[in-house]
Amino acid sequence: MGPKKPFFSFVKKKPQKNTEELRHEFKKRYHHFKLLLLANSNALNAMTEMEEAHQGERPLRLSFIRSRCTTIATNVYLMIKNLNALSGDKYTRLYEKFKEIQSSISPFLVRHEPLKDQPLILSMEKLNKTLADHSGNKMANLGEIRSRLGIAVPEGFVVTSRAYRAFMDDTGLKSAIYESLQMAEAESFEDYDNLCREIRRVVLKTDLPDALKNAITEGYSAVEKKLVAGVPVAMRSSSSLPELAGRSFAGQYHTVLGVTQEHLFQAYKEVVASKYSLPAMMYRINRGIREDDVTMCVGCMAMVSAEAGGVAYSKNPVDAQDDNVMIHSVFGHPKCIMDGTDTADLLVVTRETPLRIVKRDIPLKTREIKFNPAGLLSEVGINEERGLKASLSDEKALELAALVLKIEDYYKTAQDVEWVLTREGKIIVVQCRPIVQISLKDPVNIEEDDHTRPHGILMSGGSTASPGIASGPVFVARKEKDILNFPQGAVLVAEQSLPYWAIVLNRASAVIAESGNIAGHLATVAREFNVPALFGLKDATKILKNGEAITVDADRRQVCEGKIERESLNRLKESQEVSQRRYYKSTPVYAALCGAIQHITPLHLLDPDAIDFVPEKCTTFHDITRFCHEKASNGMFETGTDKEFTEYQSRQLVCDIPMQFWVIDLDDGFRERPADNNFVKFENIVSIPMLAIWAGMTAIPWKGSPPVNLKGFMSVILGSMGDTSLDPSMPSRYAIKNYFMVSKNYCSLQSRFGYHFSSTEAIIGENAFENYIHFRFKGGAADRRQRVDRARLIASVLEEMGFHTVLRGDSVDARMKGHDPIFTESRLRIIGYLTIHTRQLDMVMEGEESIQIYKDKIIADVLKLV
Amino acid sequence: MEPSKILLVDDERGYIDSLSGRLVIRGFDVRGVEDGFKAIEALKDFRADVVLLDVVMPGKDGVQTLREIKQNYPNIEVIILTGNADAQTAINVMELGAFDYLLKPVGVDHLVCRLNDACKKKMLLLKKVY
Repeated sequence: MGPKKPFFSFVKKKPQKNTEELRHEFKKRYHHFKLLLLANSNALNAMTEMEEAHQGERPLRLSFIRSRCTTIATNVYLMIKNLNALSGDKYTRLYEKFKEIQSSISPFLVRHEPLKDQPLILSMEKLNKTLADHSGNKMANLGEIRSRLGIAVPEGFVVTSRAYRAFMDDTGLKSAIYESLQMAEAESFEDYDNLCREIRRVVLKTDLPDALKNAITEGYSAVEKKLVAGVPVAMRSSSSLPELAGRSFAGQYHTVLGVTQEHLFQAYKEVVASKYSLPAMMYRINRGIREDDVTMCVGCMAMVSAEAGGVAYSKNPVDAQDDNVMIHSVFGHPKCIMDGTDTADLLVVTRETPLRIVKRDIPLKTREIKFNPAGLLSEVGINEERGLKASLSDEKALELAALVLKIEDYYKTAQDVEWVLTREGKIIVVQCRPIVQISLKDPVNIEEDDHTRPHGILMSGGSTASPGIASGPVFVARKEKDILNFPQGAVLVAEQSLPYWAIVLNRASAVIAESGNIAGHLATVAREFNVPALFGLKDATKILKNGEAITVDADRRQVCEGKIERESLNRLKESQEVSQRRYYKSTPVYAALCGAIQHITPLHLLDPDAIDFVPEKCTTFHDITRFCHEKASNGMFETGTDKEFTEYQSRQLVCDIPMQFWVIDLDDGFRERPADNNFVKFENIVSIPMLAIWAGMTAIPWKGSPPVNLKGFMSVILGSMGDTSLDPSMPSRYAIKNYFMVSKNYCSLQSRFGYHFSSTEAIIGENAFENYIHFRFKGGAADRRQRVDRARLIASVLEEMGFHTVLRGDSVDARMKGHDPIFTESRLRIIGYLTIHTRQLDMVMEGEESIQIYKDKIIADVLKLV
Repeated sequence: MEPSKILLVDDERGYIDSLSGRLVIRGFDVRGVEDGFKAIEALKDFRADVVLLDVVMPGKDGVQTLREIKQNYPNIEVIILTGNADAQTAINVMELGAFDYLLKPVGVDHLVCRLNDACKKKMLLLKKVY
């Protein structure tokens, strides 16, 4: 094998350069090295964030994944660029590998769906379930039951996904929204609320493309021709997201009623803008739904003057044992059922033929919602006599039940059907969608023993909108703004069960409302989130006091004093957390993360001395960063040990401790150029990170090897015999000596003490953003189990001191980034301490107990250093 | 030493104003323009060390503007500062010679570091001793 080619070819190939030129050249290269280090740190940091998100413990936004992937790609590219600048384009093959990896990631983050040939509107007659991608599910379902089952649905049309794309893409809205989402550092509800308001404002002020305006106008004219000129229409969302039972989107979007020709465009925009209502945004985040999966198709349907209306379930949604048809009904338009602002009649019908009504619950209804010929809604009071009557006759209830069962039979799944009854006695379906029945019994069988129940019953009654039992402090919300400060784990108590309250379901332990029913949107979403909800508890906002600890038992319809602490409840909570995590991991956003991360974070290039440590073997971005970092550090190091390049040559450190170190100055790590080419005095070192490491190494004297028993000694002998890489006579790049490579703000220490190898790299400057520490530790002389124990000990100390650590066998990889210089120096002193004081500790590792003993001692020592 | 000159190109005037203010406090000489055409025009008399460039802008977008800057002023460093988290765009602009691709919102400390790095690179290329 011939002599190794120098990494920095400029040193030897161009001897004609004078010292000044060489110095300048070296400064340029050091600059590239620094940029490479910074890019490495940025890339690894973003990878850590992705790995944390990959734990699946909290909901994710797609914009988060995209931004981290972009940051990683950018910085990996910068590393390749700087490595090639350093090495004279020795590693251009990395660009190809980079592109290969990036092209594997892209499909998970960006979707290109060709919709160009689709129409901008589709009339109701043409709709069926095969067109759901273009018309959205609600409208496709209506078209399907109309054409297949002959069920009456309103006249109308849908403004399609293609139209939505045209509105978003052709007007620049898509990029504007995309940027707003990316740039928002939203954390609190208030931040999200502001972000949503801003996006809605931008959508509403953007003009529709002319072609879209023409299409909407044509669609409306066709409805007028079928019915009557000037017919008012309702515009409501019809999302094209694949329909899943248990994912309702109930009440998330805006519906505009009573729209006439002159307001068609504005109403369309209002519905589209409601994709960015706060409840819709929070729902997507909490349910892990991709922004780009939600295409807002908008249904435009003639309004129907309703004598009565409501929601019918083909099975009881809150009791899986109950398969009766449940009909919720009010006089007039059923808006107040959906938004939970009034009580409703409940009629329960058996599913066996002949159908019969088995339960009638007719509470007092105080108002009805009507609309005039212009389509404007108005609220009308109802006198007590009428208010106590059933809003739906038995005959119509049975007809409706039959119709609902027909739809269930067709779709082969339980249905939630929104319906109205016309003055002419015709039942018209305005929406149908699948539901999931949930069981009243919780999964861990809470014991029935009375003595463990909480103390006094504060309230009882109402109806179970979502089953379960939970405790927490009361939070009374009176207006929308109140909810922005809703604390984690509280019980939401409100007068009405408004759909808006759904934004806190991810953090509420339970919900209580004075009005509302199980058919409302809030109840539907509470069931999706497994949050117990009890509605119809009169005066709850007066009786229950803010901050007071209560327990809501939705199954028994009771509210009790105090918080219950029971083993079974803890188990319930744990099982809910597990199922929450399982849920997050089943979402489309998580799937995108998994798709991307497999090409980013796994590390295959572990051994720099291995034959396959080459660009061709880089299959992830992490591999590329590892390769670039290794080659660049190695290159800087080789220059420092090059005897012909004396100015940047390594020098032995003259110090008071009985150990040997060599120092390479990369730029400005020495106070002045040493007079002697072979030595540098400690006083001449001005590298901030090196001084910090040194302080940690020397602060507490090492008391020598810990007492080793015979077993420890034998394991060293046996281990050494089998592992040739540990033979000190086999030099690898930094193996023989302990080297510091330094500049004023940078230090890399490669050290080998006996049988273990450690490397520390750090930047400490004024800008916290650039500061980082990266520490790696591997090996040992004892048997593998003991080496692993020592690695665990070190990782555990570093975790406690704020490092992010990764443990693999007997190696520890610890990182820290973004802290101020004083803090970073203090942590670097700990690294210095560990470098010295963990020597040979592997020999005395005897399992958990010894880890704990040494950890306590080490923590006591390092606390003196910080 | 003369302050480094920064040309800030962003279609949002409010963003230009707030960021310029913060960079001036940090000792930079900043000029702001709202689109790519104005950026090319401004460079004729404002010899920027670094251009901070948005990507999505009406008229001439950031990518086209970058291409022109690099053709006419190869020594000026360009840092992309955008809300557009798209890796493919990032790669395209890096291939066109952008110094970095930063995502909004960016901390001023971070931005100042990158501006200093870019200025330093420019000086090293021009063989100025610093």
